[in-house]
Amino acid sequence: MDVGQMQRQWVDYMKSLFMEGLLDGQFLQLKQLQDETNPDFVVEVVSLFFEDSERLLNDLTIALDQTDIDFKKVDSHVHQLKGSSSSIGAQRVKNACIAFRNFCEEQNIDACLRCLQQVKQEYCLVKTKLETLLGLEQQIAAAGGSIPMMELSF
Amino acid sequence: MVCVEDTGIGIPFAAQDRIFMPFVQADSSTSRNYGGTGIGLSIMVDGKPVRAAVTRYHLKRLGILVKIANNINKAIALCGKNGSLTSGLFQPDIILVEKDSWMIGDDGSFNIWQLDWKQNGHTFKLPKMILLATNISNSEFDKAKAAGFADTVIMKPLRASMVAACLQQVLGVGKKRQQGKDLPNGSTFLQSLLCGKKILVVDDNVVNRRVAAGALKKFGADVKCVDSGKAALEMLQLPHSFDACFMDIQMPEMDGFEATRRIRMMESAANEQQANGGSVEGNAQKTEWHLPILAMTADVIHATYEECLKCGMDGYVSKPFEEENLYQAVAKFFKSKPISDS
Repeated sequence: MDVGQMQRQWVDYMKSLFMEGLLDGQFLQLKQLQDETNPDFVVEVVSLFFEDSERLLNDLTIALDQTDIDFKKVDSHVHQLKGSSSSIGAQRVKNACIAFRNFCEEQNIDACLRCLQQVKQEYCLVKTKLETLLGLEQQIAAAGGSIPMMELSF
Repeated sequence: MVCVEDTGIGIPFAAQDRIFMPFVQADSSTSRNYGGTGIGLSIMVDGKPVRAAVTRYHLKRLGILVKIANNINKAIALCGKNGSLTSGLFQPDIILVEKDSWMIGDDGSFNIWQLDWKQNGHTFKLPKMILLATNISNSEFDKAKAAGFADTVIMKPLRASMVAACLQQVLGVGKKRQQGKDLPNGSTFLQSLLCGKKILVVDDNVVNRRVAAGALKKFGADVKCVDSGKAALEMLQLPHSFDACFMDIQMPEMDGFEATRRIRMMESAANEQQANGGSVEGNAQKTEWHLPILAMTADVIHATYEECLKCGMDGYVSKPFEEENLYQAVAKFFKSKPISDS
């Protein structure tokens, strides 16, 4: 595949991520923060997000597994996850967290467990997609091409 | 939050002459805007009132506020004959001159005025003179340079990026920043506000810290991050050299409100000490300690805003940062970079 084809593939992939609501404008903001002095900014932040999220999802699983659930703690974890997903533009993860927090407030155990499942699914999905996207970017860079500037015009 | 926008063409043309009478309103909102653009005071010389009003409107939309003078002599009179603070009403940072207004009045008045200024040896920097033109020939440009105009001309129709680039070049705003990146217009002004400022970011979440720092660094700020209220207090022991602090609200152990309360307590203790003639070790300043602290919050609710103010915060910004939002919040504290810095 030549560079041009890869670039087009990248554009189409990005578009689909936005169309499907997986990513929002904040992700584009992140891309804009990347420059020559900060060439790996997006990769760094995304990696931090993965680490942080996995830790939080783990803590959430444990917290909801207790016989006596500490909803404040659960809420605090969800709040964290909501914050970080919002910072990188992982829209669906963020929305799932918002729903989750409502159920924490109600102290509804079953709903919370369902929400946790939902959040995990959304996280896995966005993780896979981001890994694919970043992988594609690496390929393009390796082939000497540049990443097209993306404008959210739809 | 209420936003008021002035379309700008509210002054009858006949009255424009009278804008420059002594005792004219010194509008506090104006001074805040001046502080926000990084440009400071500006005068525009244009003998055609309609054109002047239109240009003024467009410049205003870029955050540049200008007072209009309809000829050069008026502008000079405003600035004071020899740069002394008392003789002039304004101390403009830039004087924009419509090319044809200058051509008409080309009797060397600017030259004389500049010489006068320099001869009196005042430390005030001569305002930068910039031509505004729809077209300009090489000879006109040479003449302009000889008369002391800056070597960039702002071409009309006005294009925000070009105006920003010109002003950046002339005023040296944002020079310290890493160059080479094409920033959208608003960013240029955020850059002039934040460039070189030392900012503390407090957030317990590593992703948020990294993103906030990235955004602020982009505008040239010198950013330090900590992950808790407790750590923030340690960094902010007086005297410190931070210019502002962005504080997350919801943090375990010590939340943003509590951290801010404690910072304010430290500050009032030090201020009291200073007032009583003592001095904080190593601190030579006479002004009171008050670090601008802005809450970073994803849930911008009215109730939270009240709490922010109650505990001593100066405002809040949304998280993740939105440029417009950030600019509004930060413009309140950071004045324009004085020309003497460039």
